[in-house]
Amino acid sequence: MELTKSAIHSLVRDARLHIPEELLQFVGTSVGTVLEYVSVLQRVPKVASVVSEREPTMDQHLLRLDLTRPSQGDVLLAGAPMHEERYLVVPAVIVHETGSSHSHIKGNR
Amino acid sequence: MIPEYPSIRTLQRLLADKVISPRDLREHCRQLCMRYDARLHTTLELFEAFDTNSGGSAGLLAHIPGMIKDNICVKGRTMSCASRVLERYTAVYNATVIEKLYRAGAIVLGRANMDEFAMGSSTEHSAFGSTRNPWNVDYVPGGSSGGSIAAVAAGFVPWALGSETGGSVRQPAAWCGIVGLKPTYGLVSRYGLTAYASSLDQIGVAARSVYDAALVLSVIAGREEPVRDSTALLLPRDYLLTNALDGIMPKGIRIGIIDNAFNVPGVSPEVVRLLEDAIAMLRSLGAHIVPVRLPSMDLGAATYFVISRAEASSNLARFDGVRYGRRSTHADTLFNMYANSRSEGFGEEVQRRILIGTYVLSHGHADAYYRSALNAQMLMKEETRRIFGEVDLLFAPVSPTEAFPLGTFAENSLQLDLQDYFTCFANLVGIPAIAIPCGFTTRSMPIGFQLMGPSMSEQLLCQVGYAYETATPWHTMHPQLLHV
Repeated sequence: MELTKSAIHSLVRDARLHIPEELLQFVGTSVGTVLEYVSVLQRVPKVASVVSEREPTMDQHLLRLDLTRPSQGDVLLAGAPMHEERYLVVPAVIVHETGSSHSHIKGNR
Repeated sequence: MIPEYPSIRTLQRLLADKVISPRDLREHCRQLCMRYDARLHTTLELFEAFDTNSGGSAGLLAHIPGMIKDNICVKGRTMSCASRVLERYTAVYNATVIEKLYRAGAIVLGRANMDEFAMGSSTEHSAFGSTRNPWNVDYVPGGSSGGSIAAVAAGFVPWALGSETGGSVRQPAAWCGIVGLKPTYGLVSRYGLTAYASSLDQIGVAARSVYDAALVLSVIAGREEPVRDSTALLLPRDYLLTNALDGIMPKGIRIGIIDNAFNVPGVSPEVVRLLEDAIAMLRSLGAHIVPVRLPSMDLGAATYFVISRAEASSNLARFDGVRYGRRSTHADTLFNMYANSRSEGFGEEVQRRILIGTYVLSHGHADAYYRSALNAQMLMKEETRRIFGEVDLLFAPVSPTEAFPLGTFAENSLQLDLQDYFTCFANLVGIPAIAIPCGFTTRSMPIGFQLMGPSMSEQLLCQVGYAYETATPWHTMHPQLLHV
């Protein structure tokens, strides 16, 4: 789809710009790229919610931090032996949230 | 005597042993920059006086100088975003990262060049001239944080801050042969970072080693009090990523090699060969290498294109000659004042992105275009979450090719966007990623690979990166700039 000249002028006005003729041509060709990309994106199956309920909230992040002080999760514990015993059992909330306990990773020392 | 390309640890030892003074170190870095930067143009301004809060003797970065990308506010200093629009703008407050650096005793040596408003992948789109690659000054350093990265690679400073929206720290880091670390979205406060695409923007770190990058990230991580960036996370006071860096690959670690990333048209065979060598090295260090497919990575470029342009057009609407920056002096109506101020101030690349973003968000298109991109982004997040149940980290190229000669994409800026193909995925999903040098092409240009991990896995990324770095020589190789 090509944008008409008046549609391009209206777009430039919406963007609050004055632009030279060669950039106007760029707008026309870019629309082709946008449409090409969008046609790819529109073939993506609908994901349940654009704002996923499974996305960790700030509270969950903080909870995770509290549970795993001083670092950020059981997966990060390799090399931190003095705290290792605290992480052998991964809290259910983290397993549920990440889908993995990463319990196969052990400290190095 | 200060060695060439010193690590932060080396400098700290020299300072502690009083072999050098803080002033010696600061002047040494300034002299290097003044002497050699004419060839590279990494720096927009070298500071002469320093904030009284900086350079304290306590703290993780006491007296260690670094460079700041020119889209991060340093109180009392110009912050131009490499744009004519803001060339006379003086920051009225410190970004959170600057406050944290000052508290750690760091010295902010100057403002680093960048693509205008961080829009570009080559640092050719600065209103104040292109930055060049220290490995070959006819080549671009990558971008948009090209000034920060080239200054570190050239040996002017041991660390620098950049910002990432689609890979603007990792891509130039790979092309200049240093380490680029992009944190989890929210790990570092964006307060004081000029917005490009706020849902993707994140401040990142450039350094010549994984250890130094981990140290600097430890300093700047965490939100401020009172909170000014609601997406930034509260971290423990003793957050220190270097604690676990012992050079040993974590036992049982599974690294997923993204198969489909290697089959993308345009990936150079030479890059593939170097990446395969890096995979072999990771395997020899004890990592379990698992081939995985991440089909949604192939949606990254399209998703990034739509979301970043849409957010850019919205964020840059504020630069209208009224509140910030340049105001046109020849305008007869209010609209013309807006339009003239913006058209005279913004460079072509920024105007292109604003126009595309305006189109994407325009009436009748926003739902079809913008929401499709958000849907694809959500799919990417879901798939990533699933895959991190199977592997601990993901391995991928940083860029399909080595750095290219200046002007290569002058006539086709849309093609240049494909340089973000592998890096923008981490930004869209919000996960951390690190670019690590892994060799040189036949033209002696550096190449890197990237590791991506689940949210908040910076420590694991650094452990694996450090183990790789300890076993390989690439981080010890430097451009010959200081000998010319």
